[in-house]
Parts: sequence; structure tokens; C-alpha cells
Amino acid sequence: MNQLWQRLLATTPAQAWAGLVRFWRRSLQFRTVLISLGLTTLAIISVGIYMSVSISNDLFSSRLTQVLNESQRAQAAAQRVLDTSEATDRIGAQSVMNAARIAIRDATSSPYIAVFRVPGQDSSVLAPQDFSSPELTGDVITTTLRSDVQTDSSAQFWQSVALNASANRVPGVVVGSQLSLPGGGNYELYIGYDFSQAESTLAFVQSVLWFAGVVLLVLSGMVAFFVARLLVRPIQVAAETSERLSQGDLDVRIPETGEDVMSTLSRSFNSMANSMQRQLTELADLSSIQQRFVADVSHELRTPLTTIRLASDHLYRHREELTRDNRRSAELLQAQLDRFESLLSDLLEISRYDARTIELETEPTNVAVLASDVVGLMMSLAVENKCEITVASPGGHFDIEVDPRRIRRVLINLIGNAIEHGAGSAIDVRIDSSPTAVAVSVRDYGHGMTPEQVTQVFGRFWRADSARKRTIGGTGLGLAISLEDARVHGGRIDVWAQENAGANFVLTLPRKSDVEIGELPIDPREGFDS
Amino acid sequence: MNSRLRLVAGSMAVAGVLALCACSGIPTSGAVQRSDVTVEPPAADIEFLPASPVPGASPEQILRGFIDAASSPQNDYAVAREFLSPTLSTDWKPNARVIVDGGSRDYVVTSDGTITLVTQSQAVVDERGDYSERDTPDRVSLTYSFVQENGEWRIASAPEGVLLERYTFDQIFGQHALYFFDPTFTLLVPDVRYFPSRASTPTRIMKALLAGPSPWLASSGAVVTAFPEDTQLVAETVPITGTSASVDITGNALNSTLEQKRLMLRQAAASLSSLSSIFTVQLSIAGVPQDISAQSEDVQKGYPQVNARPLVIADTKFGYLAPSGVIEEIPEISPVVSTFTPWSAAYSDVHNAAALNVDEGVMLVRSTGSATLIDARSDLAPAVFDYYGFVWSVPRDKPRDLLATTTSGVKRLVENVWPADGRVVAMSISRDGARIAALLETGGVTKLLVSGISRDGQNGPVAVGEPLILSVKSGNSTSAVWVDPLTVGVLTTLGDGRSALSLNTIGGGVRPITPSSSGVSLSAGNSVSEVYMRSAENELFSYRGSGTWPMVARNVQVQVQVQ
Repeated sequence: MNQLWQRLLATTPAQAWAGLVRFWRRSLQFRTVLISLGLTTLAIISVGIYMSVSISNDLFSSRLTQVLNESQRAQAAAQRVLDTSEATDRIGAQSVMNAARIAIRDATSSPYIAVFRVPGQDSSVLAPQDFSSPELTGDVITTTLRSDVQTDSSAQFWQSVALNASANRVPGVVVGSQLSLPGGGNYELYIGYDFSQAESTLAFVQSVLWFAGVVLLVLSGMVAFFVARLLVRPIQVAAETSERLSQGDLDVRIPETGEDVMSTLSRSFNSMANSMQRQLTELADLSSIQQRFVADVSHELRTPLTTIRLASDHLYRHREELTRDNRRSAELLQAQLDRFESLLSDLLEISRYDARTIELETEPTNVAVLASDVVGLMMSLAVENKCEITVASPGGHFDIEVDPRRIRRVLINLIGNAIEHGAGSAIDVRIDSSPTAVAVSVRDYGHGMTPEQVTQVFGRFWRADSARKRTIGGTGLGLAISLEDARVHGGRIDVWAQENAGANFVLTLPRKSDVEIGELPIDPREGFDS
Repeated sequence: MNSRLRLVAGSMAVAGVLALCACSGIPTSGAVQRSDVTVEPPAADIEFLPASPVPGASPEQILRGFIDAASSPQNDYAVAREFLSPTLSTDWKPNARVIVDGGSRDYVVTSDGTITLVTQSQAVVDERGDYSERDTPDRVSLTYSFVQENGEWRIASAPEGVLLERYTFDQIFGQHALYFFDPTFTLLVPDVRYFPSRASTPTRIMKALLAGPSPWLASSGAVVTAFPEDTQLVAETVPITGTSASVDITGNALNSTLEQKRLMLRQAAASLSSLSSIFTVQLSIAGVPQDISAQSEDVQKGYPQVNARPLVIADTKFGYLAPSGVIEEIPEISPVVSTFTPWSAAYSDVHNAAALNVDEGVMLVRSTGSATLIDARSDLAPAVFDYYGFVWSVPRDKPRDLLATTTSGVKRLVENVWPADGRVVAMSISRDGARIAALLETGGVTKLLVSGISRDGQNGPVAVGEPLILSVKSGNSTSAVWVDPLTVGVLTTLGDGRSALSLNTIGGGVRPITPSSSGVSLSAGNSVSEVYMRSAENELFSYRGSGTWPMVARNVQVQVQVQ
């Protein structure tokens, strides 16, 4: 856990973001949950705002109706007091105005009262002074409100304002109307009402709304998580099954449950897998029949061939006694029989590979030594073809578990090919190793091959140029078998060639059969332009 | 949509949300809005709409406009003040005096630019609202001077008060009775005043009530007020909410007992009862509402009532005249009375006693069956009872020798200031016992003198105060009775032999009624509709409000004044 924390702490925001993006791309479930969370948030916010706004409007308008009525009652009470005024002097008028103020105070719940004489009237010695609660001084009563009230004596006006009611300004409404004092003129009456109660109610409602919204969000996230899990799980199973199927495990199937669309998918998938398995099995059967046929044919040909061989050997031994023409025929027969025998043995070998009946007889083998042996073995042939073989072994001086007979055959084949197609050029044999592999390259500087030919070089019975003479008498199966030999060791043969620049064949073998080769110890393109 | 676009859209959404959140609070600013709530306009009971001064008016036009504008007392004579210079507008006191005239006025323009208005005054209402009618129209000269204000003529000086013709006065001035207590604080005694009808009338009434009774009532101590001395309205306003008037008086009354406050409230409620718009009165003292209120309908309950049927002596029988014409005798009293042949009689229902004017003097008949001669002086005016059971008797020629005798026979002299050389024709004491009306003939002219009665601690009458002298029609006035708490009815035989009944509102005007036949004496129950008149032929007529006088009985020798 601590480690996890440390990892989390060590993660930079950019890394975290990148991780999230990766997770977003990879996890359908994560994406589904995130999208549904996003949409739910949007929905909750929309509903929350709608409710908040409508509740606020309702709170405001109901309180407004209340204060407008209250203000109207206060104005009426004050006007009644003023109507019955008998004041004939300033003091009397002042006392009447005071009584009106008390009437307003009694008729309304608000202590915030202001009375101003409407400007522009004839001065009157009777007219009482203006007065105002401190909460309504300053810019609380706006000039627009005042001018509206002044112009219409029979209407009530209101305006939303911020009252100086406490240390901080609180929301409120100022209601304005006119009063008329007989002999004293018209007065503007303003009553301020504190709306902070409505505001705190609204704040409470809003906090409840938002809390409920958050809870809803969490719940809907959980719901989305479970629903996505429910849907993604079968898809995951299907994906894994497909993967295994593609890897050759033809027996895997998706469990079929229920009758929904997922089970339809499972059934379709399973029937597809069934049909594929059937066809593949048929194909495999067909292939094995063919292989056995080749093996049987090769085998069956041996017996008569042995007899022919005996006869041919006899003829060949006694060729000196034959006429020149017959002697030539006997020699030809002997040579073609050799060729036939090696062809048969190659065919048998390849059919064994096809039938996967190869059994490796491994022993610790030093590839460098083995390669030098083969070069020594081929030296006479090379001299015969005026080829010079050079051996360089920077690496590979250690033992690996291989079947030396087969590796030898591969090397013989490669060097033989090089001698044959090298057109008398030099042949470089190089042995090198990497931490994971050992490689032997055979490079000639002869005719080389076109890229098209390179792709076909490992094909069975393929020949680079049928017109060219065969010094070694290859069967056309040599490279195919060599490739199989390399593969059976977990290795590979790479080839690089260029027309008139020669070819380079590289045998690469892993140091251990269960280890990946990784980077090639020798690059087959080495020594070529481009 | 690429991720950048998504990001922009997302930020815009968040910004929108925040903006909306900000909107969903209680606003602290906004446009001025007109509310749908209707505003109560100032009370407007304007009947007359005098014109304001027109530009370029001459001084005489200004004066005529000013005189006309007196018909509109609304807003403290706001229109009339427009004709005055600013200085005068402030100083002018329209309530100081109202001169009521016939409407024919002469405008005399003098050389120095002043205008003198000459008219015949019929009546005057003073500052307190006391109305006094002139016997004969009085010649009145009112001088006005003028000044130019901003190129317009305005009145620079004017006599106090307003001038109204009779018709307009009747339209815009109303009769309002203020109520004070008799010294025992049990009975309400009215004091009639005249005030202009406008929204502030209740205030004017309360101010007058607090200022105290009229001098003729005050001087004798006949009435008292429950309000402590110098009590005033806190603010000069008596607002009416619905049908309830709120009276807020100054703190002198704070120390009063609850009983005293109830009395104050009773006075206020009674005084405001003349306004049809007021049903209840709420009393506050120095702004503190008192937990008592009174309904104005209750106020008349305290006034003593008598039997509505006429008490007569008919066919030598003493008793109430039933509608059937039968005389219902009063046990113990009637048999005794029957033994006399009085030419005038009075009866106290409360004390169950009768006072008979016989040839020997005044005979007191009590429920014990005794008959005592309590005043043996000669040429006595008809004796009357008062509420407390005193028999008032006076020799016709010696008004100052007024005697009050208890039912037990104790006599006391009641001082008075009636003309010593006058001749007492008739007396009547109001049922509240606080006022006495006397018909006195002096030098051939008969006047109705109404005074307060001052009493001692035992309610014994001590003196009769300075009288309010009212004119009566010239002729032979024979009878004066209190018809109701405000009114004294006077019966006069005119020169042509016909009778005239005038209902004199004390402190107010006179309402003449012409009976269909001639009468010699009057009696009254509790109201105008219970007035009875006896003819010389001993027929008894009843007054119906419609002006008809049906005969209700014959052979009625004497109408008994019931107290």
C-alpha cells in the first residue's frame, strides 16, 4: 500500500493524464462509466438548476406578494392617519406624521421606513421633515424608484435592493408609494423589507439539492459500473476465446447461456468455430494422407531401386568390357541412380518433416568447430571449382545443444550452394554469436539472385538456373530441408542476395532451444550496397 | 468532435452552470416595477369643487373665488389658500369663525386698493364650533387687501374665518353633539357644535371634546369631563380603520383608573357617534392602546327615559293615556291627585311623586298618599321636577326667587341670573338634570334662557348658571319643554291666533313646525316623535314626524310634565 502511495505521489500530472488517456482507450467499462457519469452530471445539474431557479422565483414572489400587500396596508393606515389630520402648525403636523409613522410601524413587519416630501411642491410651513431609517439611507432607494413614485401617486412601485440591514448588505425589496398630508403636501413613503430569510431558505434548499445531486451521481456511477460490467464481461470472454482460437486452440468455445443477444453472439461464434475446426481437421487429414503417400512411394521405390542398383553396380564394374557406347550408358545409369537415391532419401527426409516424425539427437556441439570441419570437408570441391574459402569466427566458440548431423547437413548444403553458384569467386564463412544466438554466414560473390528469386529460394525443387551444370548434383530439396533443419532447432535461415553481387545465407540458432533469438548476431545484408 | 472542441464545449457548459447558479439567488438589484396592489387614495368626500385662481384675475375676481372656495374645507381649505399670498396662506385661520349669510353680498372697492365685502350675517359659528343665530340679520363688513405675487393678484390680508351662504353652510357643516358628564359621572349631557364635514371631522370633534364644554355649560359646573385637565390628542389626527376610530390622548390620563378611562371612552364614543362611519372607538393613552373599547350605539343608553305615553289629567283622572284612549291611573298617586283640580302638573317617575299647581300654590303628592303644600307663594309658574326629585317653583314675577323643594319638603333657594324684571312663563329641566330652559318675558319680548345647573355634593341644586339666550318667535309663547337631550320645543301663539312650534337645538339652529291647530301647552316623551300638544278645547294632538297632528284624546285638562 505504501508503495502504491509512493508511486501515486511520484506520478506527475502529465503521467497521470497519460495513464488516464490510456485507460480510456483500453477499457470499455471505464469509458462507459465515465460517459454515463458525465451525462448524469449534466442531467442532474440541469434539473438542479431548474429546481433551484424555480424555487428561488417562488420564494421571492411569495415574499414579494406578502410585502406588497403589507406595504399597501401600511400606506393605507398612514393615509388614514393623515386624512384625519387637523394640524394647523408645524408641531402638530410633525406629530401627525409621527402618528402616521407609528401606524406604518404597526401595520408592517419591517422597521425600515423612509418618508420624503415629494420635491417640486410649494413650500409649506406645515410640512413635516423627511425621515428615514438608517438602513434605507445611501443609495438604497434609487433615483429611478423615487422618480417613478413621484410621478404616479396612485400606484405602488418596488425594486430589489441590497439593504444595509446588518454588517453585510442583505437582499431586500423597497416598496414605494405616496402619502398625502392635508395642508402639508404629498410625501413619498418607502418601506424596505429584508429578504435574507428567503435567501437562507434558498441556500438550504440549494445545499440539499446539490447534496442529493452528488449522492445521485455516485449511485448512478455505481449503476453504470455494474451495468457496463454486465455487458462488457461476455464481450471480454468472446474476445479472449477468439484470441485462443486464433492461436490454434480449436476446442475453445464460449459458454452459451440465456436467449439474449450475447447468447446469439456466443452461438454464432461457436458454430463458426465448429465449422472452422471441421474444415481444418479435414485439411490436416488430407495433408497427412498426401504425406504418407509420398513416404510410402519413396519407401516402395527403394526395394526395386536396390535391385536396379545391384544390376547397375555389376554393369559399372564391368564397363571396361563393354563397347564404348554401352560403357557410356552404364556410367550414366550409375550417376543417375546415385542421384535417384539421394533424391529418394531427401524425399523421405522431407516427408518425415511433413509428418513431424523428426527426432533430434542433440549433443553439445561447438558450431565454430563444426563449421570449420565442414569447410575442410568441402575444400576439395572448392579447389575443384577454383574457389577459395575463408573462415572467420569472431564468436561461436562454445557448445550448444543441437543435432550436429543436421547442422552439418545445413552447412554442407549452404557451402555447396555457394561453391556451385559462386562462379569461382571467394566464399566467406563467418561464425559469430550474440548473447542469445549463434550464427553462421556463407557469403559468395557470384551471380547472385533477383529479389523474386530470393522469395522462392527455399521452395521445393526450385532451381536458380536449370541450365547451369550441377557439380554437386543437388536434388532441389536441399534448402527446403536446411530450412526445416534450422526451424526444428528453433533457428532460422535468412538470405540476402543481389544480382551479380552474390548471396549471403545466414543460419542462426538460439543458444537454448527455449530462448528467443532476439537480435541477429549476423545481419544477412552485411556487405551489400543499399 | 475532437478533444479540443470537447474541452471548449465542456468549459462553456461549466461556465453556463455557474452563471445559472448565480442567477438562482434572491436578487439584490433590479429594475423598478409597478405592483398590481392598488393603493388607497387620500379620502376624498369632496362635494364642492371650487375653481383655483385663473391667471390674470383681477383682485375682485380673486376675492370672489376665495369666498367661493370656502365651500371646500377639504385638505384644510387647500383651494381657498391658493387665493392667498404665501404669508397669509400660512397665517390664515379658516376655522376661527364662520359667518353664515343669505348670499347677497356687496363688493365695495375702495381707493386704496382694498375691497370691502358687505353682507348680512344670519348666524356665526365660532372657533369652538358653537353656533349662534342672529335674531335679525347682522350687517357685516369684511375688508380684504391685495398684493401681486409673480404678476398675479393674491389676497394679502383677510379677516379670519370663512363666509358661507346658508345653503352651502347646511351642506358642508354638520351638527355634532359633544358629550360631557353630569357631576355624578352617570349621565351624558350633550353640547352641540358645528364642524365642517371632511375626513378630519373626528379629529375636530375629539379636539373640541378635549377642549371642554361651551362656556354656558362650563361656567355653572353643570357638566364635567372625564378627561384630565390639559389632555390633548398626541397627534392631531383620529384615524378611522374600517369603522373603528383610534383616539390617542396624551399621557395626563395614564394615571387614571380603569373606571375613569371607561368614562373617557364613553365620552369619546358618544361624541363620535354622530359620524355614521364610526361604530367603535379605541382609546390609546400616549400611544399605548387601552384594553377597552366602546361601541357608539351604546352611548344613549345612559340617558333617562320616561314612559312614552302622555301623562294627562283627563276627566279629572290622573294617568297615562293608553292608545285605546283609556286613562291608566298610577296607584297611590292618582286617587290623591283626583281630589285636586290643578291647572298644571308635573310628575317624577323616579320618585313617584307629583307636583300640582293649584290655586293655593304648589301641592306635592307623594306615593304615601300625602299631599303637602310646599310652596304657597302666589302667582307661581308651573312647577317642574328634576331628575333628582326636586320640585322647582318660582313666582312668575320674581324669577330670582327660584325654589327647589325635596320630596321631603326641604326647600332651598336656587341662585340665578335671570333678569329680575322678567316674567317666567315656563320652565323645563332636561332629563339629565344638568340644564334648565326657561321662557322669560322681558319688556314684552320672550326669550328662551338655557343654563347649566350647578349642584352640591348631594345633587342639590345650588345655582343656575349664565344662560344661553335664544330667540323665540314673537307672539305669546306659552310652553317650553325638553323634547330630547338636544332640543327644547317652544309653543308660541302667533298674532293671527295660530300656533307655532319651534324646536330649538341648544347650541344649534331652530326647526319650525306648524301645527294644524292652535295649542296652549306642550308635553314630550323621549323624542320629537313623542311630542303632544293640547288645544284650548282640551283636545290632545300628537305630532307625527310627517307634519300631521292627529288628535289622540279629548277632555284633557292638563298635560303633566313627566321627569
